[in-house]
Amino acid sequence: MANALDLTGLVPTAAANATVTIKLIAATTVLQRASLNDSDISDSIDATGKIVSFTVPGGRNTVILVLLPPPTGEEMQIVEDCGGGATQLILSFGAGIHASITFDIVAG
Amino acid sequence: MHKPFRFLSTVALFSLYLASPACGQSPQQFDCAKEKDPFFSYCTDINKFLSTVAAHKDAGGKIDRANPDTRAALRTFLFVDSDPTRLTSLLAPLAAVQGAMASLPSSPDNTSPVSLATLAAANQDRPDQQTGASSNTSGTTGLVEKAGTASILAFALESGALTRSVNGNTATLSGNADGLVRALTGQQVLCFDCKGAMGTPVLRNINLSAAFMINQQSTSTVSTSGAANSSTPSSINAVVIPSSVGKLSGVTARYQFWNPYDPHSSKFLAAWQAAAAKAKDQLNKQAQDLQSKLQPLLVNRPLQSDAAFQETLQTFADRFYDDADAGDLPRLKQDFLALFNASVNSRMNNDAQFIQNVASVNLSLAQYKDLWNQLLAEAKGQPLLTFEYAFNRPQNQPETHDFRLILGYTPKNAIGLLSVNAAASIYGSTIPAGAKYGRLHAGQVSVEYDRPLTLKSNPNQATFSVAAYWQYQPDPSVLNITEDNLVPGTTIQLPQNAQVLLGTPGSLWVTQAKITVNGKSGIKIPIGVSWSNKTDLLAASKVGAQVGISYDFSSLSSLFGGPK
Repeated sequence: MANALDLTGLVPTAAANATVTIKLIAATTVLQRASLNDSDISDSIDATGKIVSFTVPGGRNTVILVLLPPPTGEEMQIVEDCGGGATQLILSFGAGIHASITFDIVAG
Repeated sequence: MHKPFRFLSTVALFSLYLASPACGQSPQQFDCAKEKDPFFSYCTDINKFLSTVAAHKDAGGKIDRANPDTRAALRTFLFVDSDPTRLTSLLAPLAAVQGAMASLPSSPDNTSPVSLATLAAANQDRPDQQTGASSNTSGTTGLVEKAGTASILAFALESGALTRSVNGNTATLSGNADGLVRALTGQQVLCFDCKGAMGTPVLRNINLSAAFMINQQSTSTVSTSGAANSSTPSSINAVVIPSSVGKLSGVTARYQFWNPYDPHSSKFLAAWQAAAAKAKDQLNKQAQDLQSKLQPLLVNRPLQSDAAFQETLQTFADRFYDDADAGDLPRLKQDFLALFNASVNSRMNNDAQFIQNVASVNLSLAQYKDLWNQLLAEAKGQPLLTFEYAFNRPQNQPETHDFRLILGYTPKNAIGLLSVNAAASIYGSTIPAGAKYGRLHAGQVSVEYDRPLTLKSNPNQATFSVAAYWQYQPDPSVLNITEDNLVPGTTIQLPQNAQVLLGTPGSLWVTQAKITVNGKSGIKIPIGVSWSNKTDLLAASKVGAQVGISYDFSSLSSLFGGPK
């Protein structure tokens, strides 16, 4: 599985209808809910609470992740899971406690 | 023999020093603890950017701006809403003030998200909080005191006595010292990761309250300017006038002792995960609410298609790289603050609903954070012990100093909370010469069990409580005699410290059953019935009823919290 996102610009881009797999890399924080635009995609969160997959329609898409953060700050990364252990970094947070994350994907 | 070796070693070390990309120094970083919001909230992410770019330099020693790691670290603070709740909690004061201004021409709108955001419930279903007066006041609904209090401020109005003969109405204002200081000094309280989010040492364990008898007049004696007509005796040269319609009946200070815990320990994290698993359904429901409030704020924003704003972002991205390349941290901070203000202003100018949506998110965030705090409290465990000191001024009775130990315990295999009190009370003022009573007023032990009632529509709509109270007095109660106590027409001249004994010494038993309705917006309505074998002044048994209402102002944090 290759990467679906092009991260060379400030805003991630993808081909329309591409399937994107997002992974949360954090010691204790887990995904509680996920949505793509106005659609709830929480059912696509895996059992570990770290990975969610979705298909991006053409146009500007907004991913919203609601997190359950632990009581202590920790470093956190949002990456695209490209399969086979390969990832590419989308957002990289320093030590902190975060309850939500959002980013856009422009598909076309 | 050693000189050539020493020379070569020095040259080699110096060469390695020069060859190092950062000249052997760690990358420059901000001291985040010294920063203020809004920069403070983004500081660790900006430090992460600085350490990332320091590790990705090109052959010329400049930042490799095409490196995916540097771009990822940049996006995290270039898009100030990368953590949207971080942005909304920073804008909480703005949203609250604008909401208040908007509602000025009319009565408060209870359906407005802004109004609701300032009135949201934060701790409405917690049975472990003491918001009302203590059991020995004339207006109270609580026979046993709880170990916890409101995180900022709570107000309670109660009617009906439990151990007293005189029924009255008491208004009680209580709060946590740390929460009050943070709210009044404008420190963020909605955020998860702000300074002292876990509380200020010592202050976080101190709770204060004051109770006022609101149906009792305070009076003061004043000199007259002379008789107003000829029928007034000339001997009347001073009268008693009311100075206020309420009277301070007691003040309380309490300190909570907690089991020491390390939030980094595996034991604590296991307790945290167990608490989260136990509250899975509640968490999911609250997270879903937060998600639904974030969508209108973030999806289909006019700003997303604004080419000028996208250009502005690119300009700031270049400036951040330039600042980092130059190692100019003050300019980087200045540029970030300019970006933050530009981003907020652009959102406000491009989206008429922006402030409304921020308020909606904050309302939901306050509830989500309250649930998060409950998980934290559960992982931390109950307070090991609470010590309380209370100064009481009961009506027409000597002042007392009460010392109380309060223990809260959650049984492992049962739902609910067990609270146990043990107290000693001593008379405060000077014991008159020849008094037939001693310094010790009473000793007391009481216990209460609170069980949340689970309903399908609302899992924490009410709490049922049963309580028992035992007090032992070595002497009968003491009543201060004033002219008000004398039968009309009596002409006895009373000395200043005239007192009589009333009631009986020995045991005073009280039992109480109570239901507390947890309303919306932090309102609680306790309704109780009680039976006692006697009261403090009368020997006869008494069946009584108590009712009250309390409001937890913790959710007003959205009005106070935010950047300094």
